[in-house]
Amino acid sequence: MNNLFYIILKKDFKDNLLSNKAWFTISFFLLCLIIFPLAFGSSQYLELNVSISAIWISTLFANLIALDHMYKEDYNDGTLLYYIVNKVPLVIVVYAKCLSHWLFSGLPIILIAPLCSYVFSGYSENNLNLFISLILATPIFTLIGSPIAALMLGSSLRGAALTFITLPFYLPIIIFGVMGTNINNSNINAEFYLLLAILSIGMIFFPMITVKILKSIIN
Amino acid sequence: MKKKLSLTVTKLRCKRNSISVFKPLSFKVSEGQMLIIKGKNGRGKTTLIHCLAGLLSYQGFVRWKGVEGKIGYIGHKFGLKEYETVYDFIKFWKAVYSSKVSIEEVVEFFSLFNVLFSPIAFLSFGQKKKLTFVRLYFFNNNVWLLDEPFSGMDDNNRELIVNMIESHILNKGMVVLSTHEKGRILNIKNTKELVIE
Repeated sequence: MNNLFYIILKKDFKDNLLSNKAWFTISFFLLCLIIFPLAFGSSQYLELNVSISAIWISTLFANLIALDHMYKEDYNDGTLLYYIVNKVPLVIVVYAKCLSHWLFSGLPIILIAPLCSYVFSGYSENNLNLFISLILATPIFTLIGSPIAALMLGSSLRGAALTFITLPFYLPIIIFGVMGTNINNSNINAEFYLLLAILSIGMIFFPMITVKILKSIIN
Repeated sequence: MKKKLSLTVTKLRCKRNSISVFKPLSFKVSEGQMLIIKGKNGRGKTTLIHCLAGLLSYQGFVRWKGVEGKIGYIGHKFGLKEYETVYDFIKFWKAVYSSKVSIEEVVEFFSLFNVLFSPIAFLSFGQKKKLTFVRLYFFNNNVWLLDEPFSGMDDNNRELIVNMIESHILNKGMVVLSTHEKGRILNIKNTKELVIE
């Protein structure tokens, strides 16, 4: 069972690298981020609040765009069909997909965001908070997106519909994430606990829904 | 003692978009037997095979007895990634099925020497179709559901697959296949024919 997870994870990782979609999310994130200083039109440092919100907005859109090809290829070429017929446990497939998706759409952002925040605002006090809240929030983005991406597989206007449906579910996460980034006294970290709670429920809950949806969508 | 392999279908109906695809079907297939499904396009051959594989919901009864492990299936979708090499494909599915068959054996059986390290996008339709049979070769299942296995194949490949099916039947397996071929394709005595009208 563990073995199978590693095999599928490795394969997904390779697929992401080979199909040239891996770099898309992170490049979109950087592109989106670069617009903000340009749009403010001055060569001064951005306000700290602005730079943080810029990072969160870019993260949100980069994740929304990356969601589309989470299950698309496996659905189109029939790999999912073969998984189901040959009774490969779909739970393992879904977890492997979520993890590999997060490795390409979440992890690079987490690593690069504190640096961006520093470059934009000149402050580095909030970097640890930003780092922690991104670590908690990006997996939730992936997990929430996974059942919706599965749900949209049969639809012909997948991209647009996916964005509109997923966005409201991302709002609480982004609200708590930004609040967590902004706190000054580090004694009370209620936002982090809340995100952690959502993450730990979501880790069980969303993959289960995804499996159900994938099974019914394949018909 | 091992249970004898059999498939009993009674009054199978399947609805897609609230229209019944075929009239209620009843048939029985047993060990070492092959069922050939015939019928015009759009009469529900693929639907029937999907029902048997458990992919679609249906009314009526489909009873499998003595199935060991997984059901082998070849469909219209190949499940191949264009950018993957043939070797990676073989290695991945060998790992998924945790099969003991060696890669060299598969390469030799399917004569894949020339294309082993080229991306699947470079292969022709027939070669891709041949690759999907690698999945069947890997694991030891006694039931095969094949959806038009001969379409788009040249004589050599067809012979290869006929040989595969024949040896599978001899090993007390069961094959359900749909085809448009006329006349006898296979040298198997124990066949049943089902024409969907």
